[in-house]
Amino acid sequence: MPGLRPATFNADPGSMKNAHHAMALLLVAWLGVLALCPAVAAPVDACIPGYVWREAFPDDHVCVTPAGRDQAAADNQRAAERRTPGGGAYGPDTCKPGFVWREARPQDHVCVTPEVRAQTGRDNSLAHTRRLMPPAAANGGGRRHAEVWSAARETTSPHAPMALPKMRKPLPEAMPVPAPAARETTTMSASFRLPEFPWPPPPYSTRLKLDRDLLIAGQTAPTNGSVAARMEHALAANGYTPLSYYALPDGFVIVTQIERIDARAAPAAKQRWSTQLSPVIPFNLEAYIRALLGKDGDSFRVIAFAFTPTPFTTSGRPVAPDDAMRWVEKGATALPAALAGQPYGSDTVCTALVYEFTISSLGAVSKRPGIFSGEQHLRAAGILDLLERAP
Amino acid sequence: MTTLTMHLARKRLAVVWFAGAFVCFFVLLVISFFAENVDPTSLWDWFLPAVVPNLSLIIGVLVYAHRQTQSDTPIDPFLYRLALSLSLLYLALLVLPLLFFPLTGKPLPELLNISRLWLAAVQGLATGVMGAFFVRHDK
Repeated sequence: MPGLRPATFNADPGSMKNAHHAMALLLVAWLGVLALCPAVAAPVDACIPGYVWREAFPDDHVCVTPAGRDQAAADNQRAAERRTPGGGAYGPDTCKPGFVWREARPQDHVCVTPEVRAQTGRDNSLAHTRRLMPPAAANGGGRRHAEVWSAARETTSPHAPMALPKMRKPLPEAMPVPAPAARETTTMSASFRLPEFPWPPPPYSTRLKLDRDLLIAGQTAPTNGSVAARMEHALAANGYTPLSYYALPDGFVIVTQIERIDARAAPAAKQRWSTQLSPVIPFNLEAYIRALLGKDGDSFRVIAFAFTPTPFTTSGRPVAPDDAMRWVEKGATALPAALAGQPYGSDTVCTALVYEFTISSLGAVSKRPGIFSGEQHLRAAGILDLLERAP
Repeated sequence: MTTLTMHLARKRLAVVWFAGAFVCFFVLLVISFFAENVDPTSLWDWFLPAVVPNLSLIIGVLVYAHRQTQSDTPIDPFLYRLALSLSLLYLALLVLPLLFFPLTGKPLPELLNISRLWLAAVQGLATGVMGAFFVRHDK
């Protein structure tokens, strides 16, 4: 090629033509580099908006809130001072009294408070609901998903970005497709159907509509999963574990376990989660008569958070106290990934339905209307306070 | 020593049954009027089918036998003691949950539900043996 020289601003037609050739060559070379370089795509275990990798240990990609990551980092920094000097019954990693092993993974012996350990366990169990769906899996999986997965495996680093399927040759049919657990989990998760909540709901004791801003907390693209996770965090921080999920015609419900409350609607200090009665032993006549007349009752509540864009009334059929107590047993442990990944609609409203009961020696009865307002319930439970804090 | 006749046996068994049923009736009445946080419907649903059929039988036969002469027929003491024992057992099983549920730590409806398991068996036995005394004998 004659005279590939740096382009100069010269009115000479010949030199202009050469400059054009040079520009064209540069452009082609640039496109070629682009074509050969793997495109940067989101890692398979990227988190949904509002969540980050916990990084309690190297390669810890469990998705947690930023506060959870900060907590893990702070616990790591203080790990040494929380161990018993010289070791103990559990070896050199024995924790000082009041601390337990975090167990973000089986070998994780960082000493933390029991509350942090419980939260860590919950984050592990909810990890799959907080992951960003891989584009291939979101488009239906199958062969396309296999191409993406196969391309990812060809990289040298497990955390290297994946190649776009169209940049690689599709796998021949005869080649066995790797069947990772994540693919099977995605398929199983996609086919899982939430149990249905009785809808319209049974008459409740009181209700409270939650402000949308409390739930999305500044997220630009909230999803059902991110909102549910935020609600779970607020509930779990106040001791509400386990929780159960149910489906609605156009939304979902989170139900809490039945809990004992005191005269101020706050969770009871003793036997909060137990509905057991105390027998009148040793015999006391006054206590016996009180029990005989059902005056030994305590107040209990179940809260159902309904996320739906459709206004609703009630079914008119009261729920039996026993049935309401079992809601938390019969629901699902988490939102299916397909539902979790859906955008949280701008018209979706969260309404807290509070079901109050009195349980005494003469059985359980519903209280309608309830003694407390919805806001009193949620404020006393600490749920509103936590939601109102910065994310 | 008084010979145990059918008439006397019927009277004694009737007293036992009515006394036992009345104790249960009274306790349930107090609970229905004065107790809080209770659904009395379920309690009466448990109690009434447990005693009304036998009490109705007793009343009916006593009234009918009042007009007959067979009531002086001597009866087998063993049969009478058996009927009396089973009647007392059955009525005790009715009264005990109502009076002692505060000592068990279980709510009353749950105890009553459980009691159906054994009441059904004992009721069958007691009713069966009561038939020896409270059956209409036509000439």
